[in-house]
Amino acid sequence: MSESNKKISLISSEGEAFEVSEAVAREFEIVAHMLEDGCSGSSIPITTVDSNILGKVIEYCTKHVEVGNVEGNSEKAEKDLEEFDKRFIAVEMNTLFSLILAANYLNVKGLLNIGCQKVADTIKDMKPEEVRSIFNIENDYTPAEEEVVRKENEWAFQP
Amino acid sequence: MSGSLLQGIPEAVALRCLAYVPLHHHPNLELVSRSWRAAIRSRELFRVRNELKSSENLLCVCSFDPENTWQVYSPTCDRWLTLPLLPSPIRHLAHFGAVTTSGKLFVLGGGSDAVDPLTGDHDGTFATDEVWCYDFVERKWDQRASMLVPRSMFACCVLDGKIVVAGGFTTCRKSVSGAEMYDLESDAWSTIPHLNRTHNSPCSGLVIRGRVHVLHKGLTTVQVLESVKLGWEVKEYGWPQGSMAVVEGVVYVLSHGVVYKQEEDETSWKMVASASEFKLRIGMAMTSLSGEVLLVGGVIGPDRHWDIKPLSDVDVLTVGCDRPVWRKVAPMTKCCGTVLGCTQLII
Repeated sequence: MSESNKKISLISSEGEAFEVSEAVAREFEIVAHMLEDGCSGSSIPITTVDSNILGKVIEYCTKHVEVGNVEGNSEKAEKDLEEFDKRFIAVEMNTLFSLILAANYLNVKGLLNIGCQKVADTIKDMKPEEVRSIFNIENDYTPAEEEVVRKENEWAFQP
Repeated sequence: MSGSLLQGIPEAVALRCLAYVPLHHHPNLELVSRSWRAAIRSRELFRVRNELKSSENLLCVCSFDPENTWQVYSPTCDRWLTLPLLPSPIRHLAHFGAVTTSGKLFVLGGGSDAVDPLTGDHDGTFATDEVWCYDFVERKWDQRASMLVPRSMFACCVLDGKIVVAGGFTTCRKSVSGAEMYDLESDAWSTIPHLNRTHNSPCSGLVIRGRVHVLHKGLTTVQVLESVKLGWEVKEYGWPQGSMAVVEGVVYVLSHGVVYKQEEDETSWKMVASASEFKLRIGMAMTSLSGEVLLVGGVIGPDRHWDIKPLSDVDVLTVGCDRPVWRKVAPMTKCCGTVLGCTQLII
């Protein structure tokens, strides 16, 4: 923990610098690898992530590092963190996708998982037409093919 | 796979999103597009589910009516879905063994329970050697290598990923002491040590803390298999007679309208809940799912006032908490009556 006070600058795609502690930066696995590979520079460019999203990812990692550092009281802390995750990920679809892409690129596993879980929760109760229109997916079934899949679906759920 | 799943999102990440969708929502989301259908029906999706620990605990049930129909229950969705009909040529297959392993459902042996409505005669097969396997990824039934001995009313369990069958009847008069084991990879059966005792009664199997237990109806003798090398060990346990379920390694039994839990000393039993409201109910299955005890289906009666009443009810006993209580969950949507097969699935 000797280096815990070390600050690292993460530079967004717009060139904006975000100063974070090394512990937070290490939550980005991609950054952790750079640091381990001896990349000693104190500023790291994150060229594919814009300021808005980078700020959010840092907020997520900061919270998780903070909670991870508190000893004892773990059950309450875990609950708080769950609450935080829930609020944090309650964003509109475009932001959610940007967060997922950033989490995937930066390799922040926890954020990637809650992002994907959120997408799943959103789509699971939707009608196929709604999923198509929200995600701009083309229905490439022929009517006959679609009918077959629909029949199977009906068999599975009709009393 | 044609087209991307989610625009602008790498395929692997989109698959992660789909991996968090419960199985019961798959048929609906398949209708989105061809690429969604291909992804939802891919082995890769189930591999990712496994990796993300988003696998689900589900319950597979088959009951007397409609014949050869299996339904699958999801406790998180509180919803049932129906599998395609079991394509066995045997009408009203019953007294079979049912287990799951490697995310597949196996239906083994058994015989026909069909009765000619005019003559009252049982028709068809008493015991078959047929083995059917339902693949939840391909969504179809396939026939697998037949058992070496046709059997009905036998014990059927999974030991270290392999299916063990033991005992039962091979004709209406002849009980069998033989046991065999099925290896999924090689799709082959091999004989394993015989049961030490053969009894002229149906038997059932129960896996308790990694050991197969074979119980004969009406008898206190239990035969235990820890490994094929060691063979069977005969134990006089004096357990209460009744339906049993194993929840996280602990045995529960429903006996004379009371649910008992086996104590850590493995000889004494503690009452955990009354089940007197189910006293009139027969032919139901008692099983465990996600740390709870479930009573599924069965029939009521007959009585002076009514004929046999087939049930599709599912009652859950929350055994995890200090004061277990019964609650009702979604009833089966197609199946009703005496439960013929009931097994847990992890997928």
